[in-house]
Amino acid sequence: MDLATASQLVVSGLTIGCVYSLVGLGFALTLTATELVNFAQGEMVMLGAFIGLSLITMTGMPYVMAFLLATLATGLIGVALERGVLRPILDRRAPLLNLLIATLGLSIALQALAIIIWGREPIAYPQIFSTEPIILFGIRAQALNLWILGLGFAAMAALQYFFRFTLTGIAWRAASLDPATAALYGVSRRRNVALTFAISGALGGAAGVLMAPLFFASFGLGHTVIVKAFAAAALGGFGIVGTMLGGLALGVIETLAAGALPSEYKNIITFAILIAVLMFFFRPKQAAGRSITETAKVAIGDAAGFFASRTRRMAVIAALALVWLLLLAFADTYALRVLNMALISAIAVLGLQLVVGLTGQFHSDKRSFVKDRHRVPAGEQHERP
Amino acid sequence: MNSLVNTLRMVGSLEHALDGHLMDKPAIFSALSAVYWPTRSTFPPLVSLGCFSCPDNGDTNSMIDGATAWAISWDKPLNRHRYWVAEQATNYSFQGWAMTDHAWADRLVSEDDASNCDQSVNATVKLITKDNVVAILGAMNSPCALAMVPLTKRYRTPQFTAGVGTSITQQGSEYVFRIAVGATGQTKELATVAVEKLGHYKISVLYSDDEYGASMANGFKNAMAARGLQLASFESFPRADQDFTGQLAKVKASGATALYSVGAYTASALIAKQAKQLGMNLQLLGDTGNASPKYIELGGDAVEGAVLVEPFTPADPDPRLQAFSKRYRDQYGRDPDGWVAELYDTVEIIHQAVAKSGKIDRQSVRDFAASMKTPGMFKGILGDWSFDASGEAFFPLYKVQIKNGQKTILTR
Repeated sequence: MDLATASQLVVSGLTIGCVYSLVGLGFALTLTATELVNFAQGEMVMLGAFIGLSLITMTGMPYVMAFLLATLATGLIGVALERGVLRPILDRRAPLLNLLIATLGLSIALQALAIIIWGREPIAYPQIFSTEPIILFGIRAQALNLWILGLGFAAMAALQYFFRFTLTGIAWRAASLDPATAALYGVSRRRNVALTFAISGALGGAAGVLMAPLFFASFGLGHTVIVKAFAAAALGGFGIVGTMLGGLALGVIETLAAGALPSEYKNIITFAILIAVLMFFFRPKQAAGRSITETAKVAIGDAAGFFASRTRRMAVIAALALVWLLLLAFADTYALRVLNMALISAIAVLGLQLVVGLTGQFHSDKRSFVKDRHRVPAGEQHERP
Repeated sequence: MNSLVNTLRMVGSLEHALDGHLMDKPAIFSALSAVYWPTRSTFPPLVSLGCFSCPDNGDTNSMIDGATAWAISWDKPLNRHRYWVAEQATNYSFQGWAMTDHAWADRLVSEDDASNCDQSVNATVKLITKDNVVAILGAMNSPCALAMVPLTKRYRTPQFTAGVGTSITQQGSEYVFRIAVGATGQTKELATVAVEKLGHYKISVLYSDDEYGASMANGFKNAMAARGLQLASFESFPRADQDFTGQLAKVKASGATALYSVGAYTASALIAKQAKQLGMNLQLLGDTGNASPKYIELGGDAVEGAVLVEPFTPADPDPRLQAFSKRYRDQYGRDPDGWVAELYDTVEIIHQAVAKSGKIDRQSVRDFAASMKTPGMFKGILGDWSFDASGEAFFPLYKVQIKNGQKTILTR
């Protein structure tokens, strides 16, 4: 590969890396502030793309204006989702797993909504920029690529400025590190969480408006970047600057890998590097507070206690046998097939539950599940922020 | 453990032995039914390693004189266009038949699998066992069509699929019929036009890493090898990828003058755009996967000059095809494409099977399709149809080129 080609690939990699960084920042912010992986982050990307498309095609406004408005709109949508869906779950002191599932549900619902509004087919953005390449030192770049890089870096710079030099941003950082202490200084945790979802939604929307002119607006747009964006955040240690750099690095690495190696290795290389970084250089620390594995551990402990009794075991087996006979007698082929699939999924989830239960740890006093024979139930251990 | 394994083997053998004979309600079922449920006349489903049942096989000979139903279904793939096309095509064909006098009613049943092959399989079971369809149209994509083959074989239900993956008709099922020209046929024609008509000898292939992409790519590779030519480069991409600059850099480095991209038309349109952005001036080649009007809409200027093979094009001046296209356009507001014509002709084949056999059942439909061994037995929109012993369809293909956003016929 010659220098010109490599340079070309680096520019392309930085372009897509910019998108990874923006989406990854959304993950990082949400995870840092709420210990929650927001599965709906990809849909913020999708909504940003479609809102930007609608603004441009319906009003003819300039691309930059559409970018700003779409970013604002998805930020507001993020707040609305937090207030309307996630806040009630949090207020009920539900386990973190419930929030995870809620974000998954939001992801599916938002996709369905997008299909209803904009349809299933991908839609191309109008020709906004000139297709004539800009050639600098032998490197061909489209005007669109330069705009994506410029706006993307501007968004990241604005974010960094916000968190370092504004009172609200500093308060956010404090509350994310230690909510209890920050609360003593008057920093509202609830406002912090709302701000987090606003910013992460806006970042996702910004990424959507940037990438859609390159890749078309479609209801599955977010899914194409969500995994790599999360990987970018993990690569950067879920910090703000780290995620920015991680996304750019990931974009460049995968583009260079695709250009230098057989294409089959593109994704392998990308995630092998991620795994290596996570294994040897970085261990993500969760903030003191709830562990995501608490519910799994409690559930397994309760199940073990329930089945300790022989009578209960026999009763459960008899009940299952009765259900099986009833199904044989009355269920048709299709119903049985659906039930089979559901049971297979349940077995898979049970396996995950077992693994999570055995490997998770309580965080409040750092006692491990194995060592602590007199564990205190999770609900009594941690204070709800 | 040994006894468990032996039990499983026994049940598996039982399943294998009974496979395909469910429709006949073998004596063993009746005997077991008498033992366990003396008052029941039908054996209930047996759930062990699979699900047995004795479904109504749709054999409705006795209902020929009354209103009955036979159902067609298809998957609803990820992109709306294909589903819409399939739906319109089948509705279109149904309307045509509704105008003639026949003694049965038509019922269309559709299921959406969203290009998820698990859902394709579930939908197949539902359609066969609950909706009692006599034929299935689908899936429209190769991986899901392949997943459905064991089920349509088991339930002896003819499956008409537009998936072009080579292995679909190589599963030993006599109930699968491909209603599109398969990978081998398409790539052979494409290689012929690329080399002999367009004069390109250094051709790169960029294909999606799924059943469809691999089949077409390998087919093209073999077609070029048969001419004593090697491909300039042979690269794959993950199906969900959207950035192809890395692969295109290799294509550029190979010195290729033409590029055959295999994948969903979205991916092919993106490849075309990104190749143009990289300053590559390549002759683009494509197959029926790019035959959709969306390929031109999404690709814009980047796909100008692309050469595609497709079974049908509204550019054909044949009055019969023009009338067909006009009727479709008047009704649905867009031009019909290859999938429309394939499905339209397939519905016609099924209707003819019912009319000529005098029976509405799966086996009759299957037997009629299998009997179409010589061209001329059925003439549809796509010309003279025939199926070979493995269920592969044969009809002529158009070679078209995109000029000024429209397709023009190069040859057929």
